[in-house]
Amino acid sequence: MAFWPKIRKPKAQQRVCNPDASPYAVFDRVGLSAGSTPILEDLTLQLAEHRIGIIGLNGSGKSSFVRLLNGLRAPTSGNLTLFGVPSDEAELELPRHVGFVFQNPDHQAIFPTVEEEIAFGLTQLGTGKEESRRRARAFLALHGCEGLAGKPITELSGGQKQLICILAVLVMEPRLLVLDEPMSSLDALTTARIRQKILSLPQKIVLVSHDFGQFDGFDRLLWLEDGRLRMDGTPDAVRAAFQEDVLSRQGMDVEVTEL
Amino acid sequence: MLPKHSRRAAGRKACQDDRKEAGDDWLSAENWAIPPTDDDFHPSRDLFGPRVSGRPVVLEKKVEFIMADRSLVHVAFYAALIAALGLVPPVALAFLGGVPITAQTLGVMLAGVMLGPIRGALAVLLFLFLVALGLPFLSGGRGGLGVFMGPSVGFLIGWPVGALVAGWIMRSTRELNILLAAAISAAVGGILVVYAIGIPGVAIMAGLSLPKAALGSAVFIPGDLLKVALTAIIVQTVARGLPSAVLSRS
Amino acid sequence: MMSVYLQGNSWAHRLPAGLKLLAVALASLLLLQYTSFWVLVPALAAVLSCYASLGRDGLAQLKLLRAMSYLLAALLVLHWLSGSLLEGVTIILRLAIMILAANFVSVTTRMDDMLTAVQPLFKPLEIFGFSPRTAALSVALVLRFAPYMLVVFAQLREAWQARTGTRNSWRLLAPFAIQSLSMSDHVAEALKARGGSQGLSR
Repeated sequence: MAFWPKIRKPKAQQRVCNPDASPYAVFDRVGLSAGSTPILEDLTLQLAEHRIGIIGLNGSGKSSFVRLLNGLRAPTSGNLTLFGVPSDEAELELPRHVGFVFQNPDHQAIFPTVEEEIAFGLTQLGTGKEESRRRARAFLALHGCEGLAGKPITELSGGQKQLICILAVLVMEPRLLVLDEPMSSLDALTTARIRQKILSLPQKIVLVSHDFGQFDGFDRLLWLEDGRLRMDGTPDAVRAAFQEDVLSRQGMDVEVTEL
Repeated sequence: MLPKHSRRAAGRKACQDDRKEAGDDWLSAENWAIPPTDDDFHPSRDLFGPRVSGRPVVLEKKVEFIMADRSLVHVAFYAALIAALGLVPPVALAFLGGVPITAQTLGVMLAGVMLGPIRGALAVLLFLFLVALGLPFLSGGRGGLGVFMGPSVGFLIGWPVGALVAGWIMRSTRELNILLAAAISAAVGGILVVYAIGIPGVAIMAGLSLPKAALGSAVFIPGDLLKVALTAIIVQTVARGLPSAVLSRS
Repeated sequence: MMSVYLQGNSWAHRLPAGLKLLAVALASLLLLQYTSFWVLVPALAAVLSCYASLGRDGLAQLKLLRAMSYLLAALLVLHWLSGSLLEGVTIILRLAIMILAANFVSVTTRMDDMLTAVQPLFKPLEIFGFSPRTAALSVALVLRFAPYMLVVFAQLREAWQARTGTRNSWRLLAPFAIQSLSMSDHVAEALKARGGSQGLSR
């Protein structure tokens, strides 16, 4: 195990991503395993649509799938091309183009106050400290949150926290926004507001959710099961098939290990 | 699985039955192992754990970068833990002569034993840095540069060295039972080393002879022994529930 | 943000942080050479008048001395026992002056300014790959974690109380450690998702 701090300058082998590439992600027989346990297997698909939803039962590989898009995980087999560049070569550039919003805002916010949290994204991109602060305040005002700027993150409500986490990612102006079950702990009204915010964005969206209601206005829905793509189609078609499948399984004795 | 927050026993009797029945059980390490509810993904296992890979060169670079970030977060985490423990009000136990015991040095011992020598010492240094910057994180709500001019500054200097030694012992006794290893590390690093630096500090700052300074400091040793025991139990529980967190041994 | 810093715009607030730090370090070194009352009493008066110049709120900052009074009293008793009471009084007086002087810098300097003033001290560490940016980031992380830990502990205590009827137990410490540790893993992941501790502009 390496001592901290151990930092080696990255080699200049990086190929420059093309942010406008369409499709932005090309999966070619992509697989992912942890040790000998397969998590994702044999995925071949292309992502280009404006808004893509992902659904699946617990343990189906949804979270790992979306983490591939941001470079948080690297495929262990097959080829993954993101923004026109093989994923392992794009890795260092990916956080700039792909924003990632996690399920629990308490796990995502890095800084004690809202303003610092937003400004961090800008300093990450090389903006100076004071300039970042100023632009962070302006950005908050633009989204109607100027009142929150100086507040400690721990004192915000759940919905405010999640909104700040989304803004903290948006301020980096990504081309793609990945959201991993962002509404799972929010009430109906807050969910609706955040959904509205998401739908108003010019960014491409990939949203993981258990709730079909959140896929209204989406162009495409992927259904993952046991690490494989079970179905790929319009939200309506996938919803019908998914619900039928869940109903047909309810009668069976379900092993606890499948839950 | 997490305990059900909603389950509230009806009366005192029921409470006691409940404790007998479930109280011991739900606290056991197995129950606190992080359940794989978050889909199939768990960062410490999947992102940072050892991986088998067909493309070692790429992954080597990746793991190294993640390590730096993760270490940074861990160092900050333990610094915050020491700070949070400083907010626990001191307890005075009668059988220890009524000397107030603060929880803060528990954090110092944990940092060394859990993080290993370098990161453990860095965590304590980071904590002291924050105190020096003016945050009232020392037990009793003290902070600022003033505390580094006080008679107990030797103990503050001793903390990072103690964490370093504790982490080093923990790392070099990997074969030993974890409870025993943690107790020895915490006792040697968190008491022996800290007092070895702290007592001369008191002597110099307060113009006392060494034996007098030692006498004045010795009243805190029983409380520190209690913290050694706590450290050992916590480390053992964490080793069962979240083994990847015991970085000194991984 | 919680801190011993006292909001204000006095002469002491306007002095550069580096200058204040340097002055206190030099004064403390000088003071260590003397044990005479003729030096210590004026020095104490000088420090006290510094606090007084900040007004009523400034004098209230002397509460730091109260927090340390037990310790200082215990030291005095030890001196008394060894028959060096007079020496004890001068030494404790000197300690009190040094503590108050150093604390005065903390009271009149914003944390940001202090961080900026000491950042050159991290320069030598750069050969190990440690950037001042890392220092600032870790400070922010600590300030983020500390309150969150209290929240985690409160939740655990509630769960414990709901099932056992008692409030506190040391047995909560281990689950607390596990819960908050897993949180720190998630934060590490979130940090990486936004470009890691090194930033994206390299």
